Amino acid sequence: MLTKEVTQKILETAIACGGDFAEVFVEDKYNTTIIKNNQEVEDGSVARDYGVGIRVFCGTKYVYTYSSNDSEENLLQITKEVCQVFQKNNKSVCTTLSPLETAPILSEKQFSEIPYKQKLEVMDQVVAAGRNYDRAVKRMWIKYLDQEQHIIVANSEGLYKEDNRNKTRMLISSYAEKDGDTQSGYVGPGAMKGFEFYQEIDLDAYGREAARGACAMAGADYCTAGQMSVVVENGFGGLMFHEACGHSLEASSVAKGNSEFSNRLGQLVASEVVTLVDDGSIPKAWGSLGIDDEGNKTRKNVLIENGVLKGYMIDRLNARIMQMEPTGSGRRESYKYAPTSRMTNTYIAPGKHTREEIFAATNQGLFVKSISAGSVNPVTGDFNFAVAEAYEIKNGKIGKPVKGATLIGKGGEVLQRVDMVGDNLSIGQGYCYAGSGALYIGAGQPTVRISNMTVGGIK
Amino acid sequence: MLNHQLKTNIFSLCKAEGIEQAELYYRRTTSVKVNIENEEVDTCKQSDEEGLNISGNYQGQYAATYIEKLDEASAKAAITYLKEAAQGNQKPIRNSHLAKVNETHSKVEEKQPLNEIIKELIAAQGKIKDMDARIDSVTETSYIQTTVEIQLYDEKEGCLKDTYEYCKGSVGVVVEEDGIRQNASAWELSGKFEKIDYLALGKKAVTDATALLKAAPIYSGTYPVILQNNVAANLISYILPIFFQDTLEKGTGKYAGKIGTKVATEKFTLVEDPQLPSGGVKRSFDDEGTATNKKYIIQNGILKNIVNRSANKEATLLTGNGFRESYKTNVGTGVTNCYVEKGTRTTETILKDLTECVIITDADGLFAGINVNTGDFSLISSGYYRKKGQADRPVKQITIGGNFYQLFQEIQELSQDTAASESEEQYVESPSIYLKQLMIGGL
Repeated sequence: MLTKEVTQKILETAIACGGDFAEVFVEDKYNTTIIKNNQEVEDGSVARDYGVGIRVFCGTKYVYTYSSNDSEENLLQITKEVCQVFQKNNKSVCTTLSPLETAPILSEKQFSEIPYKQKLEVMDQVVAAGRNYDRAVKRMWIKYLDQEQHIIVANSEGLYKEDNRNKTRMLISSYAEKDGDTQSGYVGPGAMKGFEFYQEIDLDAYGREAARGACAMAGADYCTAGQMSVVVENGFGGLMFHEACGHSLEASSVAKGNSEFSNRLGQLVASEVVTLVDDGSIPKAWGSLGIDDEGNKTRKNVLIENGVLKGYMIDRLNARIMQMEPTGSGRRESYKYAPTSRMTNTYIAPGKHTREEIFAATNQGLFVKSISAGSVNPVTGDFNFAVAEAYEIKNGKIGKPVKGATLIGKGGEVLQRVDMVGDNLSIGQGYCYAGSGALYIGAGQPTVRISNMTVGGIK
Repeated sequence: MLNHQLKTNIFSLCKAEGIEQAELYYRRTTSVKVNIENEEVDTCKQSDEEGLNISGNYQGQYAATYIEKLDEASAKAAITYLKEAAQGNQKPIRNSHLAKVNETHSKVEEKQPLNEIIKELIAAQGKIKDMDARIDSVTETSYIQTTVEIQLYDEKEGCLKDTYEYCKGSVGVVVEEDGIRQNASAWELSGKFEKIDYLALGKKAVTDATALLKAAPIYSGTYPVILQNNVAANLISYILPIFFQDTLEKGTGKYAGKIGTKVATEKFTLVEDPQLPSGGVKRSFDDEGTATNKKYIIQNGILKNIVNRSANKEATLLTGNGFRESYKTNVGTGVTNCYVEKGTRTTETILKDLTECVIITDADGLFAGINVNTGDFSLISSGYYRKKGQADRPVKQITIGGNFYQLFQEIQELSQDTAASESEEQYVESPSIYLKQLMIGGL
C-alpha cells in the first residue's frame, strides 16, 4: 500500500495547487469470480485490483484523478495536472496525518486462504439442488463472487483510516421450460462475511428457490397492462423504494435542487405508514461498510419517518453545498471513481399489518413476488422496474402467474399511495449502478401494498 | 505501451511455471472529462488506466488472470492464481492465434488545450441558458476525450496493436413551468472538439425537455407506433446478444439453425462494421487476435451471420467477435459498430401518412425491462400522441411492451434520419422504426 509519507506529499501538493480540501483513496482488492453453467465452469479467475484515487475540492467544485502506478513521481505529477483548473491560493492548509486508525477484520475465513476448488464445491451443491427440484429445470447458472477489499482513506484534515471489506455473494439463476416457454428464477444471497457464510446458509434451499421461481413462471400468461393495486412481497421488493425515492434522497440529486425532495425537510412526503431508513452499519450485511469511502463511520439514517421527510444521504462535497453534515454515505465502486452519496442498506421499517391481512384486503390486483432491477430519473421522480415473478390477485387470493410486467410511477406519488405495510421486514441483496459505479446494496421491506399504480405489460 | 522488459519477464515467468501458449492483453485508457456548471468548471476528471490480462494453458487446462499494478511481483502472484484457476476450471486448451493485420491508429484531430475547451464550453453554456425562459439550470455542458490503446502479444513475439480515440460532447438541462420539472440531455460523438455543435445539442435538450412539461399518460391499448431513431438505436444495442453464438449455446435465443431464413421484414438490414467512420470503436482485430471484418447480421430480412469467437464449441467460422469488456474479463462475444440500413423517407414524412400514431422519443429501464432470453420487453417511455387534425399531445408515464423477435417481422418502414445509441463502447446507429401496432400501458 502507499506509504504515509507519499500520501502526505500528495495532499500537500493538492492544497498547494489551489485545493482547499484533498483526499487520497488507496485500494488493494483480492477477488474471485467464478461462473458455472450447470456443472461446467464457464469462466473463473482470481486477481488483484490496485490503485490510488486523488480528489481535490475548491469550494463546491472538484477534480479527480487516479492511477494504478503508485510511484511518488507519477502520483505527484497527476495531482498537479488535474489541479490546473484551480487558481492557486495560499489560504488553505494541509494538516499532518493522524496515526492510522485500523478497522478490525470481522470475517472468520479469509477468501484468499480458501482453495479455489472449495469455492467450486459450494457452487456444485447449489447446481445440484436446483437441477433436482423439477424436470422442467434445464439449466442452473451460478456466479460466485468474493473480495477482500483493503482501503485507506486520507485527507488534508488529517484523517487517516483503513477498512477491510470482505464480501461474498452467489447469484443463482435457474431456467425452466414448459411447453416451449423458457423463464428464469433468481436469488442472490450475500453478506459482509468470509467464506464461513456458505456454512451458515442453506445452499440447497437457495438452489431450490431459484428453480421454484423459474418453474412458476414458465408457461405463464402475459400480464395485462393498466392501473391496479399492487402488493409487493417482503425482501428485495424493497428495491422499488430504492428506485422510487432512495436515489432522489441522495445528496447528489438533492444538493443542486434536482430532486423532487429538495428543500422539503419536515414536510409530509409519503403516506403516514411509511418509514424509510438507510443503514450502512448493520453488522455483516451485504450493503454495510465499517467506514464509508470518505472515511466517515457508517450509521443508521432515518430518511422518512411516518411519512415526514427527516433527512438525506450526504457525502462530503454535497455537505458543503447543503451546509449539512455528511452522513457516512460517501461511496464508490473502486479507486477509479470519485465518491458521492449513495445508498447502503435501504429499507421500509415494519408496519402493523400481517401479510394475510394485506391480501385479504385486496380484492383485485397484482402480487409481485420478486423483482429484477429498475431505474429512476431523480429530477422527475419517474421510475420503473421489471418484475421477475408475479401473480394476479383475485378476491383476496393469489391467482395465476403472469410474466412480462413492469411497474412504473413517480416516486412521490407512489409513496403517498402506500396504504398497508406488513410486519415481516426482510432485506435482500443486490447491486446499484450510478454515478460512482456499481455498488453492493441491501434493499428491503415488509410486504407492502400500493393502492394504485401503472403496470406495464405485453397484452 | 506495455514495458518491453516486463513483457519479456512475464513470458519467462510463465514458461518457468509451466504455462504454455501464454498471451498478454494490454489495455490502456486515458481520458479527460470536464463539466461546466454555472458558467465555471464544476468537475474535471483525468484518468490513465492500464491493466494486463495474462492467459495460458497450465497442465492442459486454460485459465486467465489480470494485474493492474504492472510489476514483476504482481505478475508472480497472478501466475499463482492462474495455475489454481486452471486446475479448478478444467477448461480445454486454447491456442494463441494472432492474425496478420495492419496496426490501426485513429486519432482525435488536433487536440485543443484544455483551458481553451473550457472557455468555449462556458460560452456555449451561457447561450444555452438563454434559449428558453423555462430553463431552470444547464446541469451539464461537458466534453470527454478518450484514447484506447490495445495490444496483444504471444510468446512467439507475435504482436497486434490498435489505438482509437473519440471525443464526446453532452448537454443536459432542467426546465420548469408551473412547478413541473423535466430534464433532458443530448450528446454527440465526434473526432474533433470543434465539430461538436453544443448549441444544437442545447436546442435539442431544451426542445425534448419542454415538450414533456405538459405530458400525461394515455389509455392502455395497442397503437400504431414510431420508435424514434434514438430509441430504436438504444433498443437494438441491448438486444444484440440474441445474435451471439454464446446465447444460442446456452439454449436461449431463437436463432439457432436459422441462418439463411427470414427473421425480419425485407426492409430490415443490420450490419456490423468495425471501421464505421461514425462509430466510436475502431478495431482491426478482436481480443482473440482474429481479424475483424464488416458483415451482415440480417440482410433484407434474412439472417446472414451469427457472431462468434473461437472459444465457442460449435463455431465453424470465426467472425472476429471475441471481445473483452476490459482487461479484467475473459473474452466473450461482442460487436464493435453496428448500423441498421436507413429508409428513404424522413420520420416526419412517414408520420404525415398516418391518421393516428404514438411517437416514442425516449425509453428507459432497458437494463431491466428487456428479457434477452425470450425477446419480451416492457419499458417506461415518453413521446407524443398524434392524430390527424389535432395538436400533438405529449405523453409520459406509459410503457411500450412487445417481443423483439415478433417486432422484427412487423416493421413497416424505416426512416431516412438516423441516431446513435448512448454507449460509445458498443456503437449502434438506427433509423426510426414504424410499427403498425404495439402495446402501450397507461391509464
